[in-house]
Amino acid sequence: MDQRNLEKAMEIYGRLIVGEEISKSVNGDLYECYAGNTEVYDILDTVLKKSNLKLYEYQDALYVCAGPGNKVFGFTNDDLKKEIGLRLNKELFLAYYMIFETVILFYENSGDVSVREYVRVSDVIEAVTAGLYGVLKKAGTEVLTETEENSFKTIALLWDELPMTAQNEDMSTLKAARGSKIGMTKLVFNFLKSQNLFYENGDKYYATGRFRAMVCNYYEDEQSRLFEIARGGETDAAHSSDSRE
Amino acid sequence: MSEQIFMNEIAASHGERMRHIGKYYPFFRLWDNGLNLFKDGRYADIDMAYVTMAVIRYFIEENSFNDRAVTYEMYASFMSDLLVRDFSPKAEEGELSQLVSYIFDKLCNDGKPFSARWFDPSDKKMKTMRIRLIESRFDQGRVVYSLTSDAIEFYLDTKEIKDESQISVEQVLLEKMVRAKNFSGSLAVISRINQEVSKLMVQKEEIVVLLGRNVFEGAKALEAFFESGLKWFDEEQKLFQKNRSLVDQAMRLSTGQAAQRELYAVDTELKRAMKKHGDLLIACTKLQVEADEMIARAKKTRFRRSVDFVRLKEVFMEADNVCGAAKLVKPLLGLRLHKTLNFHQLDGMLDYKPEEKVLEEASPSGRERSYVYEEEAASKRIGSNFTFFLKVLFEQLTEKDEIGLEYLSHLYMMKFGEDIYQNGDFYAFLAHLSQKDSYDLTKIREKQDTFLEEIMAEYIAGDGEKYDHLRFGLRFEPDRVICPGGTYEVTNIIFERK
Repeated sequence: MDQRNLEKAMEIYGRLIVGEEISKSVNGDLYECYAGNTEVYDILDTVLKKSNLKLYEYQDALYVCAGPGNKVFGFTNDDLKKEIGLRLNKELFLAYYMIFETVILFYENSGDVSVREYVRVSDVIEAVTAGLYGVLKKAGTEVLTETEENSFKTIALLWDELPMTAQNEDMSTLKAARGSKIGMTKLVFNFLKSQNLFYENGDKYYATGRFRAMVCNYYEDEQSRLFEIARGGETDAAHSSDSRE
Repeated sequence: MSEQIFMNEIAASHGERMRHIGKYYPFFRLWDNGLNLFKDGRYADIDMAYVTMAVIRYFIEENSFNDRAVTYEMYASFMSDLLVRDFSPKAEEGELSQLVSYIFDKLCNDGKPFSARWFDPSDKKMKTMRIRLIESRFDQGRVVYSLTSDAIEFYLDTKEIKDESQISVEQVLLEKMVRAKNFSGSLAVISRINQEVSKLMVQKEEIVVLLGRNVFEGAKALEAFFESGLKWFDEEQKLFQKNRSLVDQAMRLSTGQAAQRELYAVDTELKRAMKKHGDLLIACTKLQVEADEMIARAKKTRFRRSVDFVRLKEVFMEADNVCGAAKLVKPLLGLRLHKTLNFHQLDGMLDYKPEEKVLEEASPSGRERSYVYEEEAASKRIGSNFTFFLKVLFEQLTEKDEIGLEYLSHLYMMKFGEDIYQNGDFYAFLAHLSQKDSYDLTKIREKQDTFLEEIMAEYIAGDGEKYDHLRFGLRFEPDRVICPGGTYEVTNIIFERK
């Protein structure tokens, strides 16, 4: 093994795990090393695998995410509540659902070529409302039991109870907050922006390369497990250190 | 100025609002008073809200759908069944019929209308509203009861009826009004029917949007829509026809110009409602065909290799697996770069005293013990026993050209005692020895084919070196069976030196 290749591979690794961008345009020399030098590629691959991280290449850029059960780099529910600015588990689950609906707004299928470039807050609100329509119809006026705290019924009722805007709020100064549908959507998108999945321009949220890389690659990569996870048969897709309320 | 306008509006519309609210008044009076005064409140648990609603629905069923007037006996039978089924009252003999009668009197307000006083700001004076739920008439020598239009309107207002057609119930009211020659009231009812048809149209449009977004969710909503809204279509059509002919009849018989004008308006509005109703049916039939095609298309795409996010969402929603949704979203996120310490770790850090030396692992004194496993012990014993047996065999073969097994057994018995005939190792030794026809000890050190040969090689490499030139063969005598020590039968073997 060439010492210089080892150093390059470790440099790429070091930068990726602190969230630095490595692409043709940013840190281009490192990207060239990764793309053109087989030994660097192999070393980096081994180190990432041993660190339980997953690397994806999309449009001349590298993106890394935590692998299943990664306790060092993966987020727990408590971490995410703090990061997004939420207090209750049901709010967090609603946020997850909103993110998943946003994925569907761009890609109904991982094989699709998404023609959509951006979404607006209203698109997401409409999608979430339509998505929870069936659950809400069924939920009716039933009283929720304790075990149903973390259920789609709870999420649907929470969403239904949120007003479109907070009371007396001026439409021009709509804030990201938990008290309204618009506020909640903004809160979620502020977080997605911090995760480099979207960027904001005016009232539109554009998907970044990272978002597209993850949607197109990660899910296809993990395809066999996804439906198991969705059915609740497998414990985790990426992180196992979730906290319970 | 603007204050004056809205104050005027409040005053002008108040009367209309009160008249609208009026039809709710008897219900709340009945609900509030309950049965507290009957038999010292023993039946206070019977909820008059439920009882009132049930009676109104029963009257609609009998008066309008079965076209029958209700007698007190019919009511009493219905009410007794209801009370027994839903409240199981512990009534003494004859008390149940008293209770049924008391409830009926309450519902009819002892024959008087329910009345309430209210202030009409436009006339600046107090007015009284009078509302009845049930009215009675004398018909063919008996008293029969029917609902007032206020009661029917109140019932329709209280619920979006899913398990029965709102349009049909409205039409029942329309029929009542046309028969009573209340044409302005009929117009209001028809416009409500029109609104109901429009509402169904809007619902249909919502389902079209939902189908575009999520075919399977849309299909479910469509099914529910057909179930709750459209299955009454035939019945509604029949009622439309019936009302149409009633209006036609009224037009033929009417004389006054004002009445004819009103009837003409009713007729036009009814025709409009019927057309809208027909359009809705056509649109829904088309929608059903389109939805079937969309579902078929969506089913085909499910077989594609890529991940279908819509299907994935359906799966976690069907399983009501909120955590599953969370787990599917998390991989999208970046790495958790900001590390935090949990309380447990913080506690550990606070308790840590750097001056304390790290304790070394204590190593206990004493002799190290080694363990011998059962198999190892057995193997050692067999090796040792086999060596003894070989030694005797080799000694004899050195001295004699050939020896028989019977003699050899005897020698073993002499040397090791009579127990040898009970010893498993002895028979094992014979079995091992019989594996080959001949043995050449000159070559055995180089190559051993069997377990016994390994022991032979070990032996001649040590104490048995003097036998390293020995070569011998085994001749089996299957016809001659011997019984060493009278225990087990074995075939005789002759060992021959070569």
